[in-house]
Amino acid sequence: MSRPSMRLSRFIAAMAIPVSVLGAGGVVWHSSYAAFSAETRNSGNSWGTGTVALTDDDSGTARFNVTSLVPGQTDTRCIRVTATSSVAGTVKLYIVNSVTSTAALENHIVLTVRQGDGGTFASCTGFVADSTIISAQTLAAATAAHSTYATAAGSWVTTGDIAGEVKTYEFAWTFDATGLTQEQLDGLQGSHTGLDFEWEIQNN
Amino acid sequence: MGDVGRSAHGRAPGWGGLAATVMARTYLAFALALTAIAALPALGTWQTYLVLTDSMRPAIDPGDLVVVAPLGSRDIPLGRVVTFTSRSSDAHGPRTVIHRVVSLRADGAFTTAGDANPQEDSAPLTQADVTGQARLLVPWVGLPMLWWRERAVGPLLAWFVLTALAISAVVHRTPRGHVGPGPVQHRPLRAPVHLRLPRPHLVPWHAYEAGAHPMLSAGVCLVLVAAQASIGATLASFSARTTDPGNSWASSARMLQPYTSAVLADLPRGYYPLDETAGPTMRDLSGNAGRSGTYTAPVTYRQLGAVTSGTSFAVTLAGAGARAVAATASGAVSGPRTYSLELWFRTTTVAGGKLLGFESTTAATSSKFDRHVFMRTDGKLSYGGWGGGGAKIVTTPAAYNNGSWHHLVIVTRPSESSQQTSIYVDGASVASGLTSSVSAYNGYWRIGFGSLATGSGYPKSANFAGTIDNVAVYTTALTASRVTAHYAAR
Repeated sequence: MSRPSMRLSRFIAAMAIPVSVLGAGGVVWHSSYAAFSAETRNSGNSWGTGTVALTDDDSGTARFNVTSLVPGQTDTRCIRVTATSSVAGTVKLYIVNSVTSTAALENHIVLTVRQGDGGTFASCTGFVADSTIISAQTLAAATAAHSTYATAAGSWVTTGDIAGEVKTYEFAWTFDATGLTQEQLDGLQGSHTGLDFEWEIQNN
Repeated sequence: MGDVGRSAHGRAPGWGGLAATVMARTYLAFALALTAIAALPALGTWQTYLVLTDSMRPAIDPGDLVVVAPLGSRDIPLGRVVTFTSRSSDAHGPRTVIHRVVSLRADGAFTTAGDANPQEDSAPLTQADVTGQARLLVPWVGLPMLWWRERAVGPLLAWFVLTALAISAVVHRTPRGHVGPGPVQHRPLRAPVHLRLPRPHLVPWHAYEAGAHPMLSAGVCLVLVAAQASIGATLASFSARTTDPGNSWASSARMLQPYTSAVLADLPRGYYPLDETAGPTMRDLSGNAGRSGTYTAPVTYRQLGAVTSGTSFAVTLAGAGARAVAATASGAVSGPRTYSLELWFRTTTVAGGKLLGFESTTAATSSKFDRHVFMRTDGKLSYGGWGGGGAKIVTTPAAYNNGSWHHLVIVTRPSESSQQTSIYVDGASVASGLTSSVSAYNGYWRIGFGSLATGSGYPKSANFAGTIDNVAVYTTALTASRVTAHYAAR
């Protein structure tokens, strides 16, 4: 094959620059249009190299469902949370969807939550705590203090192991009726309070 | 950017050389044009961000630059991509996040989500959090800066070498020692003296300006990276959530303190814990309708209560007619003949006083009164003392004005023409005997000041200066074991 002439070479080489610049503009326009003119998102579809998922072993059931409170009543149960993410993140616990009672029953149920290893939803046997993330707070105080990821309790840093990392959370509550007169106890009769425990992972 | 270059022979480069030049120019022009587009906003109010993470894929990848326009006074655009300050901070402080606005919440804030996240973001977005709306996407050109942040040495080095090669391919392609385009000049032929024609020779490629190019390349790369250093970083932060839903605690049955439970088990006509913070109503817990009563001043409320098995309070009667009348709501009731009276008291008075009795009115004194227990000036308790001459009284052998709480129960039932009465103090029977028969009339059970007989064995005034708690009236006769059980539940 013969060489191109000097003139042809110069012409082609000279064209490279404006064509590239135009090409750059085109790429930016097209990408911007594709990204920012759309108004819906594909929710949760796989996105190639990265995945993130957080699950617990409660099978969708509530951890606590107490129907006949008695002063001094107490219970301790566990939930195991699994984080599957390909990038490092931090898992925190907070409280949502709280149901307040007219008689403020949530001011008399005291909650302590510890984070650790061992134990499952079925049984806390083998649970070893590594930190206390909510320490003897009433349900009302805990709900107010930890209602979003920004103000959540606990800080479980995951390393990004796609095979899954596990932590167990131990929940202990007590119905503390000290300081309540009989009249106040009567006022609590028939009242009920509730909440959801929510875990969220966000990348660092 | 220089000429296409010539070979040492002064001829046009071949297809290979042309291709190299074109590719190098294309790469550099493309990269610089993208950088320029991304850097232009620095001149105005727009802001450029480097995207660090994956959650807005496939539209936006890490290493892309987004150019963001300030939102100004416009509303948050539903469905569009915005940047905002996330309230959850990491070690470096609050972060800028780029996500799509997906819905308007009931409270006026917005819900955002990363396109590739399984769930929407949990924190709501308000106008104050938004830093701008994404307008332009400049792909790939932020990758070197991303690699620098992540200390990804491999890709960074590869990019550097690639850029260096591209630069060296376009700046010039002349033999060593010459800068700039142009073939070797032929000297014009003048004298036939020492005519020297350049010797044609092949110059190996590695001789092409090996000295200056790496410096220039490094400079260009650093400029590109530095230009992007003024660009803020933003996270398309991924998140996921899991919930343990529907936890609930409910109280259904009435929750009874131990002492209350013991008292209510014996079905009192009225049970008055005296826990009020203020009058005038005296609350009844018996469950019977209309049994609440009325305090008459001067009464001091919220004193420390008698029982410790559950929180309770007491009232102190401060003389001057202080009293509490039961069942004022339902009005006078017929006086029973079989009944039990129960209360707790604490006093150091040496003046005695009336503790509990039945009278025909709610006024300070009444024409008809009986069925009463009172403390004598010597601190002993007496039950009886009505009916004029032949009044029969049962008195405790011991005095109880020692400043401690004492549990007092009077149990009485008709016995021929009299009443058979037992007095229990602190759970044990301390005195019993016959007391006067009681009259049949309608009246009120009353705590504290009321009508009382006078004479020896009676206090000078019916005012009782002391603290009273947990008063109960039964229309049955409590057994000794029940009295003990009540006392044990304190």
